[in-house]
Amino acid sequence: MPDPQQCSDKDWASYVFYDNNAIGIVREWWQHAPSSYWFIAERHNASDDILRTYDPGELFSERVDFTTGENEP
Amino acid sequence: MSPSRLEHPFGQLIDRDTPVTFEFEGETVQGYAGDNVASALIGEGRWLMSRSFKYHRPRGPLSLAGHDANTLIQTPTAANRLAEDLMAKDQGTLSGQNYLGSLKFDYYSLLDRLGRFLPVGFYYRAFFKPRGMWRFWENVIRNAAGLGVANLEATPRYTDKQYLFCDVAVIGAGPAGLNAALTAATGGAEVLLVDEQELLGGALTYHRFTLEDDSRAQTLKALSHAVANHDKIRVLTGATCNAWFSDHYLPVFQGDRLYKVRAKTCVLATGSSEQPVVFRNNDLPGIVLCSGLERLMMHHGVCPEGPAVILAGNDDAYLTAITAAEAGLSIAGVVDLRSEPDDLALPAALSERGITLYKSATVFEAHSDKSGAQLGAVTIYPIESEGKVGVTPTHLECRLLAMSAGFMPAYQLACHGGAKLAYHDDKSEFTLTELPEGMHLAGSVNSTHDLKAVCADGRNAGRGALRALALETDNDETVQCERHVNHPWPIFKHPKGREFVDFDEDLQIKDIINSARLGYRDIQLVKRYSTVGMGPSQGRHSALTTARLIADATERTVTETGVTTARPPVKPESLGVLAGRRFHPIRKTPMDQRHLALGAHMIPAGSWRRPAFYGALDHRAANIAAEAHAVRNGVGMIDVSTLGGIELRGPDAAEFMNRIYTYGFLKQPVGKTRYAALANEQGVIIDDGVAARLAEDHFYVTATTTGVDRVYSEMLRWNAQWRLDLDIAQVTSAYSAVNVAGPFSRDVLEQAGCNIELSSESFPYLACREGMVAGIPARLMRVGFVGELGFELHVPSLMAQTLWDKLMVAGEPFNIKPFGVETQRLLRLEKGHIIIGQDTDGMSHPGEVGLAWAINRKKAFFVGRRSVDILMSQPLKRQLVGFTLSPSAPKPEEGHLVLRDGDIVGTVTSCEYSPTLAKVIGLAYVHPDDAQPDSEVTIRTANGVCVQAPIATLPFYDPGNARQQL
Repeated sequence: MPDPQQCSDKDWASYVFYDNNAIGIVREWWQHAPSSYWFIAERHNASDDILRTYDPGELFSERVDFTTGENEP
Repeated sequence: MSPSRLEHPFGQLIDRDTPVTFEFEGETVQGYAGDNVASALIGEGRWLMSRSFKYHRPRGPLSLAGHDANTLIQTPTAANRLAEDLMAKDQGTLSGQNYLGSLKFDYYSLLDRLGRFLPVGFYYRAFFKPRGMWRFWENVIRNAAGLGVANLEATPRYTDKQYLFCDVAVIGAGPAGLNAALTAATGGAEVLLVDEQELLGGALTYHRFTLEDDSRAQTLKALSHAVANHDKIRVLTGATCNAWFSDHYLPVFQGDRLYKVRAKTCVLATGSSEQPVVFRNNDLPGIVLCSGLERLMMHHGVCPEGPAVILAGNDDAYLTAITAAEAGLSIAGVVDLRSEPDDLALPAALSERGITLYKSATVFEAHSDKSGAQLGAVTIYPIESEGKVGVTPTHLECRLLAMSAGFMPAYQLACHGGAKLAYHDDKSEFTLTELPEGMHLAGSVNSTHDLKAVCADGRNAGRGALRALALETDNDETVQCERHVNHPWPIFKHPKGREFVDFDEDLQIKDIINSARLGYRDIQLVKRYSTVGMGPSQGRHSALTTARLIADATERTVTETGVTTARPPVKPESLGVLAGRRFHPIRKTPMDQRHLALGAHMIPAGSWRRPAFYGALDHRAANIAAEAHAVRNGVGMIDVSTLGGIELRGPDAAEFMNRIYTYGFLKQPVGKTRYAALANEQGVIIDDGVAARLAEDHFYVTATTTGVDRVYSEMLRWNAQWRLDLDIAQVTSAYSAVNVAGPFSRDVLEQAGCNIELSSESFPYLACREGMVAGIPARLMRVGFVGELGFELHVPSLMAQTLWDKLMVAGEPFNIKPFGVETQRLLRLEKGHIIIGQDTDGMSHPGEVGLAWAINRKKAFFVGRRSVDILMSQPLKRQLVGFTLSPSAPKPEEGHLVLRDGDIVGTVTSCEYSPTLAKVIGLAYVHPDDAQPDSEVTIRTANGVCVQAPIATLPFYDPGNARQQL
């Protein structure tokens, strides 16, 4: 996701609505429905082969803060 | 008298001691148990079973294996059933389809003579002039079109589904499949063996592989026996594998059950489709594939009436002739398209049996008998060059023609998996390559035709499967097959046409070639323009010929031309089996029994059922009016247990709320509630609810009944990225809730016993408290949805029914009235409150629906923030506003259009008659310029009647909002 406060309208619209959609390996969010557990899967989008699955903690290990702007009720 | 059948070893499937009868087209037919309807009919010499799709030509079986669609008949309960797929036993009354008059005398057969006015694609150009003619023709065409008739009275039968798991799925139990299954099972794999026939063995059960035919029966017996007794092989017969999906997920249909099979690896031993020769009138009843004749004799003991002619494109046809001669069928001749058979012993074998052999010749035209409904004779010509015949005809009287031009692999499942077909000019065969991981081919689908080679190929496939499973196995055998089974050009264009390439769609050679001439050169376009391969046979008997014709017409190779994409299902599948068991789980609130006892009219709400109102359906308006009156003037209670509930607990709970919802929550005081509106990343409002702050680090948030699952799921996904310190729990079922609303609601709670101070100073509007009500631990919130003094109580679900009972008792002195969801919708509409999904759609941003106040612009981030900013900075395209109408005007319904100068500018989203206000009120999207209260908008109601509706300020009722703040 581009920085919603800094990026241009065009870049933001591109992030929301467009997808590269090239053939190749994509990294996706998958959810295990019975347990609601989210994980990451790397899949080749033409052959449908799943190459790897792993916990999101591998990509997101630090707390994310949105610091600019005041926080009001 | 029962029909006579051949003796053993013919007729393996029938029980000669159990005759069966049924009716077909008004006449009684006799057969035996084990017969299918087609074999029983042919056993009595009746070949005519259907009328073709376009020309209504008489048709009979071609493959006798359920691979063509020439035998579609009508049963009392179903239409479009293949006669060879129906067992003769217990059939009752059957009839043909697709005729006007009778199967024998079909008035629509006139269309055959009008053929030249009905070329391929004629419907793209005909029937439109003069103007208005389509209305006439449409009626005619609708009556003529369609095949069988659906029985609208039929009772649904029981169907279900089951999951199966195996190490190796072997599809096809012919010699290749049986060998593959045994090899894999012996190597330690759990095997599932699937075959569409009832009998194991495939071609081994009917085909003569060698002249001597000495070991076939023993081979069959040994293999079947071994498979049936192997404890690692599970067999499903009469079962069709209809698709191959990723990771070997296979739907297998057997009778009324769908097996969802997940295999670790699979072997496709699906065999191949024998191919017809293409000549004039090759579609007459009595013209079959060689394998079809073999099935009739070997499986059902039927020896059709002769004389017979065998049209041979390969040696296998000779073997069919010899088997037929042994069965006593009189053979007028074997016509070989080639100059010599590969096995030079074959001509002698024919002459020994007194069978005449015509070499380098073809049947050029078939003729019907006097009835017009069966083969009577054929005209044979010598072949001069590819597709061209000489001048000297030979006329042969015959009642039966069995042909084999070669074979096309049953490629469908492999191609579902991404395999490709390549054509080899030397053998004139298509072969499969580029198989997906874990898929192995064996047998004729793998272009192997010699029986010994097929068996070895099967064993190799079994070994391949074992290796894929990392199980030990020995080395592959060499598989050598030198047989040429395909004739390169079994296609003979006739000046008068009717040489059928596709029987389902009544397409002849010129129809295919003309598609190319009109510019549809790609095989995908040829298919769609001409409809070749689009019928139930799905190209089994037409794809090979079409590829050859189009390759020739467009000067490309057959490989380049190819065949069209194979897609599931391989064979037709019934919707009833796909649907499975007919149960519809519903979720009930703890008060469900109370609602039923009170005479509630229940309706579905998502997966739940809720009371719409209490009382009879035919007094809906009066019941709703009475309930609304009670809420506005007395006190009412509604079960809102279905509302979604989420608990957020932890040091970052408020920060998390702040980032998810549009409003501000960091400074929300403990003991207060706030409106929680949820936007998606596109800036569209997708859900809303009430957020109660029960402690610094504890929020309890409600969500819509149908949206809570998504809200919860998205929360988890966001926090997987943000790693904030909090727990998120979905507690929708753990808590149940009621809303007690009306001027006397406070009194009811006090009467029931409540340890919380309920006065308006101690418990103001929008506050939340925790305490005990009627001895039950409860979370109380004062919310304003229906616009009256009211308390929403959330209690543990186990205690909810008790709470309801106690509140009903406590409410007696105040005439408490239970009210339902439709009443609630009216009450909220009177207050102008929106319902997400009703008054919002997939594009509604906060500015359009009056939620600008709920957007906190000072905080750094919330989901969809940037998009909301962009959308709300643009001029509005529409605005949701209130309108009113006199009760005597036509009442708009949801979805009715709002017009402006003849253009559509919006729609009505909610509209009800309000008994409190004695007016019709509603919400609608209108043009922003018309959104002011002194404007009027045009609403187009039912049947195009337009009304002018004045815009109203919201809320319609109690504009000062004083009543809910009491």
